[in-house]
Amino acid sequence: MIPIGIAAGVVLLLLAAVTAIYYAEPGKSRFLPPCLFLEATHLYCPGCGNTRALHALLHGELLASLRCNILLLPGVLTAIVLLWKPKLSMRKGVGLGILAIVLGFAILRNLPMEPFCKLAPHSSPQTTDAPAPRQN
Amino acid sequence: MFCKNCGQELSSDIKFCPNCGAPAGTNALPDGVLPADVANKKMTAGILGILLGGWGIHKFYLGMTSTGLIMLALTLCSCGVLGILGFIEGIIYLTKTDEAFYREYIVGRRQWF
Repeated sequence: MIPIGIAAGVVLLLLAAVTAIYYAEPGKSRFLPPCLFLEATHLYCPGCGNTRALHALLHGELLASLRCNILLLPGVLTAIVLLWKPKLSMRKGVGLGILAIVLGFAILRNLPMEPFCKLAPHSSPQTTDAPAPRQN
Repeated sequence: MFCKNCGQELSSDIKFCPNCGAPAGTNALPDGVLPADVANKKMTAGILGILLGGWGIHKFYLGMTSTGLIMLALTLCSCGVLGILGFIEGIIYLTKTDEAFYREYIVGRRQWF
């Protein structure tokens, strides 16, 4: 069994991260750091847009979440399945397949051509949390 | 004693493992006997997990190649943030007794945490 202290710590950390991402606005809040890989190379990593995607997902905007990072939702579902049935991750094809999808996605989303540039993280047009236009 | 096939704890008088059905007699290690390198393996895997856990190195070391690749993909997908899972797993390995480590990770081939 997992030591109870470690388990409690991990759950608390997760809750704190999810709460922060729920309330903070990615890209505007200084508590959520920008991607270091993007800053250094100006290339998108496979995780770019994940904070925005999770923010959108937590607010129930499924489409906006997929536009920011199409892998977040399938990734969360895969993680749940793998934790539920751990023996699945022993199969050779599963590990190789997941790694191939992630690396392929990383390459494709950096291509500047039309069908692929949709995979780049889109700043979703502010819908729900946009402040109303200021009236003077 | 423990079943060599699945790591289930066995009472000494049964013939077959109730969990996986493997014959218990010759297949099980006698009480209190562990392979000699378990303590070393636990220490190495734990330290690899703490230092290089995000890349799945501790899982490759324990022979869980596929799970290690998933760990690597997780780290790539999260700008390294989920690499902390490998660190945590390393700590969990080191908190186990040699016997529990052998039962759960080497015999039982436990994949996550």
